[in-house]
Order: sequence, then structure tokens, then C-alpha cells
Amino acid sequence: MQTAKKLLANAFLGAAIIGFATPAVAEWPTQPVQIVVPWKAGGLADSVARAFQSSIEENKLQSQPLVVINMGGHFSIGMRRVKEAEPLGKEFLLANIAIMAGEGSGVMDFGFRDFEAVAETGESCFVPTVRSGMGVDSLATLAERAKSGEPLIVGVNIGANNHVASAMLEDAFGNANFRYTQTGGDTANYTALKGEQIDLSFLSAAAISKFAFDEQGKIDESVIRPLAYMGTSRHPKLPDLPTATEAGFDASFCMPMWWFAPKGTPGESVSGLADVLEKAHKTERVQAFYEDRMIAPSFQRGDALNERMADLWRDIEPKAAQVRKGKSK
Amino acid sequence: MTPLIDSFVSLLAPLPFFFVALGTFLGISMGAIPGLSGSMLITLLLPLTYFMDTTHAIVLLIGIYTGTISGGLISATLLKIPGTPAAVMTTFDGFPMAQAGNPGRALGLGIGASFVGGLVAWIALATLSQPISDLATRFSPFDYFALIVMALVLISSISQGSMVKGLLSAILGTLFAIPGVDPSAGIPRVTFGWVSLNAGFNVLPVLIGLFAVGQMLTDIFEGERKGTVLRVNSGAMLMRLSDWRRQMVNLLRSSVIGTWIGILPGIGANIGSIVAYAVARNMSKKPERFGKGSEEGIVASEAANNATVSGALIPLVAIGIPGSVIDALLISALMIHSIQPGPLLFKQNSELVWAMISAALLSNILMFFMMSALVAPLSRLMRLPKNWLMPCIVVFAVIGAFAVNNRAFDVWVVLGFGFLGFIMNRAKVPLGPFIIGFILAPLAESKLRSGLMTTAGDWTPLVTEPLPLTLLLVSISLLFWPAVSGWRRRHSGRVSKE
Amino acid sequence: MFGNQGVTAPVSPFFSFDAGVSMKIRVVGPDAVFAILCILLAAAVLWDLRTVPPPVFDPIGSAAVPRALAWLMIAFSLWVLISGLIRKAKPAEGKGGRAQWAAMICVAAITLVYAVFITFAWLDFGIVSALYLFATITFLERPPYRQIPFILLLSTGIGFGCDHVFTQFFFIDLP
Repeated sequence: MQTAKKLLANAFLGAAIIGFATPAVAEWPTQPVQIVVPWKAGGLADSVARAFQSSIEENKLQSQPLVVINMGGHFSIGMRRVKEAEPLGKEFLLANIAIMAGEGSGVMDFGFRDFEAVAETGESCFVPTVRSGMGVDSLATLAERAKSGEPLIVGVNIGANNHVASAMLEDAFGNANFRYTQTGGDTANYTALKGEQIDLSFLSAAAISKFAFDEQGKIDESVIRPLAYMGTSRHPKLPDLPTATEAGFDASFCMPMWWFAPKGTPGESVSGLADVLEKAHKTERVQAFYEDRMIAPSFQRGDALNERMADLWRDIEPKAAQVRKGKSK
Repeated sequence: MTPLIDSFVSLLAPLPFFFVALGTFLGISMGAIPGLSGSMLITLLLPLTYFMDTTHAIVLLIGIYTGTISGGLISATLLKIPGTPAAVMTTFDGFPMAQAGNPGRALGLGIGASFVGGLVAWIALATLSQPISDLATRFSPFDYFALIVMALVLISSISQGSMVKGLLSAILGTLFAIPGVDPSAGIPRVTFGWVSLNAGFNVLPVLIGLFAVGQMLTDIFEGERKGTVLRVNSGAMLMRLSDWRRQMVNLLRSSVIGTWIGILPGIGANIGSIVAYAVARNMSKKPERFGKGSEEGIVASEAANNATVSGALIPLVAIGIPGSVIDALLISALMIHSIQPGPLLFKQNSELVWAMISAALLSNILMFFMMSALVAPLSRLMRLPKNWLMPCIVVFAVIGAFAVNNRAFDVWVVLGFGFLGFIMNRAKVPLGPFIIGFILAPLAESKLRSGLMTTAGDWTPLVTEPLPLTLLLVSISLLFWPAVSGWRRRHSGRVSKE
Repeated sequence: MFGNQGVTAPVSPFFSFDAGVSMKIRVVGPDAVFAILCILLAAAVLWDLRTVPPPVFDPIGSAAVPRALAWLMIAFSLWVLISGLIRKAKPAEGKGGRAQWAAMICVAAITLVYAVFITFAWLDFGIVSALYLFATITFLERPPYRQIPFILLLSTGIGFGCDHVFTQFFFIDLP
């Protein structure tokens, strides 16, 4: 009996010591971290979230799991949800430059300044793509066609990235007859191009990697034909595809993937997530993901990120506002 | 043929077989419990599949997919609550048959039909994926719009009660789908300034509120609280040879309809069963039995339902395009395993694709055996007093509501639609058209507006293109036929037959 | 002919829907309530649609389809309302007396309280669900005393069981 009592007492003492030794404030994260992706499952943003989620699990980079929440419907819904969430370091947003496109084109009444920026992980540039049966093989031919009288049917997601990219090229073409129709994102536009419902769309490089390569890794133009790359230099996997600038049209537009926290989130949580993302970004799994999807493996955080966003906004805002000129003709 | 056979045989090894079986069983359970759904389960399981082998993960999820569509039969038949929107058509005839004392028969028919539907669609999946998918991409926005309008008119006309009430129900459903941010323009509308409504009403709380909570309130009000006091014919009543022979044409036809419509991304799963049911009713020698416990009705609805599962897998396997919401989740699962579904999926990951195709077949077979074994005990569930069952369903509904968006708003949605369901039940307004209108309206509107944007505001393709024209003509004739036939009958003095 | 409540046999092999509109005798009270509710909802929708800006990106804009649907709903609701008033009233089946109304309202109230507790997270989900189940089942069933412990057990089991399963394994944020 005495021994048992002693044991029990020791156990309590031990527990008390451990209890007092633990820091009063538990380290972030103390609960599962929710990442809201304001697009449907299966899309590019979702794939980025999944890649990071898997890498974090695989490499045990965090004590709590990352939970991905897809929110379909308009992308502003998911963004607004995080904007209005409690800044407890529990809920974050994975968006891309749509947060600027949406604000600039007027479909959203809030924007990136309503959040705390956490990190940038990767960037995917746009590729103007036509359906193969059109007889168009370059931006120059496309420009001719666009100015010839018959409208070009352009599939976009109204007010979003591919719409801004289209408006930029339309502007670069000059007096072009682009007729916009709401189709959606990469998958919907690929389907529409394949089914010959639209003539032109602006797919992300990631979509090109998914839909336009053959087994040998060469471009397969039997269904869709990419015309140019809207980055500042050619993509290594598309060496024969000129940039829009090289082709003579001043239009470059890329889509960085940005992670945000609600305004007022404690700095510890923001930098905590940025740390985890940075580590995951460097893992083999994520690097292989970038390579496979033709995403430029950029990483930014903190002040450098905020500056970059401010610069980009200065550039994008007027171009996104141009979208409002693209009414149905 | 050989890769398919090899793949199927390899799925019979203990571990993969276990996963397919587990998935099918979980899916059936989720589909059968109102308030919970297979897609919820898949969403929640996605991160866990990371730790599994890719093939095991995917066959598990496909098992859940098959199971959940089939499981919807159970609650639709026994409780008149569709486990998924696609099971709405089964409530029309499954529940009356169960109420008449034959739940086993209703379930048996449904299970047999589900199996055949899955099998026929599977044959298309295994052999014709590429050409069918290519064809599916050629559907224009106006084609979609006309198809959805036809489906809405169809379901309004085949629901119990007057057609006007059916149409009113459908329109009410479409109106409830409107609040939220307009996806084609990004602006909120009919939200009354209320931010919680920006995402609109989610289908699951609406479905459960309307059918389950509404039914609970109605039953209490109408005094039906003791559960069914009917004699329940004991024992499973699986389909006999004579049944198979009698229903074969219906089975095959409904399965083909389900397969084809299931291929169309976005709408397949929900309207496959509506169209199959309506065609079955038209072709039947006893159309007056539909809605009162017609065997053909159950068979048509369930065959088409299960056919849409493999139907929706067809574009996924062929070109990497999700045919349904659950397909999109399957894509996520593939991405977790670093596989990118696209046109090259088959070429680059042929073993995995064959495994998916084999799993679709295996889970269909397992579903048949599992559900057949469950028919007898499940039929006895009819004897459970509703006083016990209904509150439990409310609790599950609340959990399901939270699983959607982690907020209490959806719980209030369940309650609100419960009251609406009660009023509709009292007014004898059918619930089926409401939920179908609710689900399909946003797609119909966005397709119409996309089509108009393409044509710069020109409506004429709706009447000049063959497919929209045909579908719209069918809709119009469906709308006016009851009045016309009534007028003709009155004026010809013919005696109506029962 | 007007007295015929039956369903007609198919006149044509392709279309065989019963002419329910003119044939069935129906209930008035709930019909009218539903029709009026629909009209009010449609009116609310039309009122809110005034604030929707004119179309920018597409020819018909965000208000066109909802507006058309609202007007259609008003039209159909009026039809139901008027035809219900013209036809003879028939007592609704299973018509509730005071007892039925009371029972329904009580259960509705208990469920509302449950929802309020969940919204404000005043109690853990497991506890409040168990309480809800116990309250509703005992109210509806009016069981003999010896059954009450069993109901208590069942309610607690389901309430806490679901809470545990769905929060621990599925990360749903139940209160």
C-alpha cells in the first residue's frame, strides 16, 4: 500500500512538473490548419494545396494536419469567408492573382490589402490557346483573324485571371473583335475548345502540361494549339513557343499562388505557416510537382512579398479595369 | 481484353479486395443515412488516402462512390428520404411499395436494377470511353439549357399531384437556388445584404431539411407516429427469373439512358434517373401505377442512377474531365498521389486506369451481394417507430450541415426547409421537382447566359439547332398535353379506364 | 366526368400523363397558405432584384432569369390559389386537431432550441444532442418509466458517439 501511494504521489508530482514546465502559450498550430481554396476540387489551386498538404504530411513539417476546404461557386465567396474569419491562425486562404483581377475588374469589393500575406509559392503563366481546326498557328495570324470582321469567341471566367489575360492581348492586338463568353477555368475551357464551342482561351501553363503533351513529352496539337507564352522568357519545356513579347505583342501575365491570413492574425501564426510552406516548397515532392506542372518555383514571404504585390497591383489594376470594356458586342 | 482481366484478377488479392469492399460498404452506409453523403465521406478521407498505395486509395474511393449511389435506395424506399438527390425518383415508387407492406420487394428490385445499370454503364466505360467523351464535349450551352428545361418539365409532369403544383414546386426550387453570388458576374443577388447567403443554400441541408425534417413534422401532425403498423412481408424478395425477363427491356433502356446522360458533366447524375423514369412511364402498359408503387418505376430509376456512376467516370478516364462532383474529388485524390488526370491518363498510368475500371465492376458486384444480404434486416427497419428514428436523423442532419461549411447557418437552413417541407406536404405539392429545380437551375442559367454571350444576345439557335429545338418541343408538348388530352376526353365522351 | 378522380389510360403511346389539373378534388387551406407564401417570396425576390446593376458582361444580366422565374411563380401560385378557392373544400386527411398542432409545435420548438444551442455553442455538441434526442423521443413516445433509462442510454450513446467520431476522425468543427 505504501509503495502504491508513493508511486501515485510521484506520478502526480511528475505531472505537475511537466505541467508547469510547458510554456503557458502553446505553439502554433494547436489545431488543424484549414486552407480555404476558393475553387472546385481538381483545379490548379486545389492541386497546389494538395501537393503542399501531402509534402507536409510526408515530411512531418507540422504537428497538426493541413485540411483543404474547397469552396465552389464564385471565387469571391471563398475569399470573403477567410477575410471575415476570426484571425486565430486557424483558417487561411490559398488564392492567386485572381484576388487582384477580381478587385480590379470590379467583381469584388475587397482585395489583397484586406488580408495578411503569408507566402508566394510558385507562378504559372498564361498561354493563349486556340482550337486546332482554326487554321491559326501564331499570334500574328490570330491578330489578323481577330481584326477580320468575324468575332473570335473567347472562353473566360468573367472578372478572373484568364479574362484579364485576354483583355491584355485584345488591347495589344489593337482593333480586335473578341467576343467573351463565360466558360470557367482551365478544364472547362479545354472542354470547350475540344468541342469547338469556343475559338480561343487563355489556359495556364499547368493546363498545357496536362492537356497538350503527348507521351514523348512533345506538344500534341491535334486538339488544341498553344500560340505563345505570356511569361518574360520562354518556358524550358516549351522551347519552341515564343513569348507574346517576342511575337510582337506587349502582353505578359502570370499567376503567382499566394497564401493569405485574415487581417489581424497573430504574427506568430503567419510566420509559422510561412516557415512550414518554405520547408515544404524545398522538398522533392513539391519541386517535382512544380516541374511536372510547368510552374515556376518561386518563393516569397514577408516584406519582399508585400513589395512585390504592391508592384504587381500597380501594373494589374488598370489592365483589370479594361475588362469592363469587354461587353458583349 | 487481357489487361482488363489481369487488372480485375489483381483486385481479388486480399488487400485491394478489402479496400474495394470497405469502400462499397462505407458508401452504402453513408448513402443510406439521411444527412450524410458519400461525397462528404470522400472529402474527409482524402488526406488519409495519402498514406495509402495509389491503387488502393482510388479503388476505395470508387467503392464509396458506387456504394453511396446505391445506398440512397435504402432511405428513399424505407423512409421516403432520398439519401442523395439522385434517389428522389426512387421515393416515388419505392416508398409506396414499402408502405404497402413490401419493402423487401422494393429493395430487391432496386438492388437488381442497380446492378444491371452499373454493369451496362461499365461496359461502355471499358470499351467506348474515348468516342463517347469526344461526343460529350460537343454539347453546346444551348443544348444543356434545353436538356435541363426538359428535365424540369418532365419531373413536374411525372410527380404525384397536379402538374401545376409540380411546376410551381420546380420554380420554387429554382428560385431558392438564386440567392448568392452570381457566378457569371461576381455580384451578390437576392441575398438581402446578408453575407451568409453569399454562397447560397447548400444542397445537402436543403435536401435533408425538406425531406427528413419536413416529413418528421408532417408525420407528427398527421398522427403517424407509431411507425408502420403494417404487416411487413418477411424475407428478402430478390428478383426472380420472371422478374428479370419482364423488366429486361426497361432495365437495358434505363441503363443506357443513365450512361449517356451520366457522361454530361455537371448534370448527369441527377437527371439520368428522371429521364429514364419518364421514358419508362411513357412506354409502360400500366402508367397509372407509376407513383403508387410501380415495379418498373423503381427499376428505371435505380438502373439509371447506378449507370450514371460509370457514365460519369467515362470523361474522367478518357480526357481527365470530371463528369460529376465526386469525380472532381477523385481528381484531387489522384493529385495527392502526384498523378495528373488528363487525356494521357490512360497512356501514362494504364494500370491505374484499368484498376479504376475493374474497381467500378467489382464494387458493383459487391454492392449487389452486400445489399442483398441486408435487405431482410433493413426491411425490418420499417417497423422501427419513427419517434425514435426521426430525432436521430435530425442529429445526423445537423452533423451533415456542419460538414458542409463548418457553420451554424446551415443548421438553420435545415430547419427552415423543414418548415417549408411541412407546408408543401400539407399542400400536396411534390418535393421532387423542388430539389431537382434547385440543383439544376444554376447550371441552366449559366449555360443560357454563356450561350447568349457566344451569340451576342441572339436567341435563335435555341430553335434552329436540332437538339435544343427537339428538347424544347418535347417540353412544350409535355406542358400542354395534359390539358389537351383532358379536353379531348371531355369532348369525345370516352369513358376513362382505371 | 368531372367527378372522375381516376387516372386515365394512355391515349397515345408516347404521352400518357394524367390530366391532374382539372380532375382532382383538392384541399383548400394548405394550398392557399402555400400559394400565398410563394407569392410573398416572389415579391421579396423582385424587390431585392431592383438593386442588381444592369448587365455588363452578358446580354441579359444577373436579374433577368430570377425576375422571369419570380413572375412565373406568381402566375402559378395565383392559379393554385384561385383553383383551390373555386373547387370544393375537402377536409385534409389526417387533419390535426389541437393535440396534433401542439405536438408538432412542441417538437419544432425543441428542435429550434437545439439549433440555438448549437449556434451559440453553449454546450458541447455531444451533450446537447443527447439532451435533444432524449427530450424528443420521450415527448413523442410517452414511454413507460422503465423504458426511460434505455432511451437515456441510447441518446447519450448516439450524441457522444457521433461527436467523438466526427470531430476526432473527420475534423468537423462541431461545437
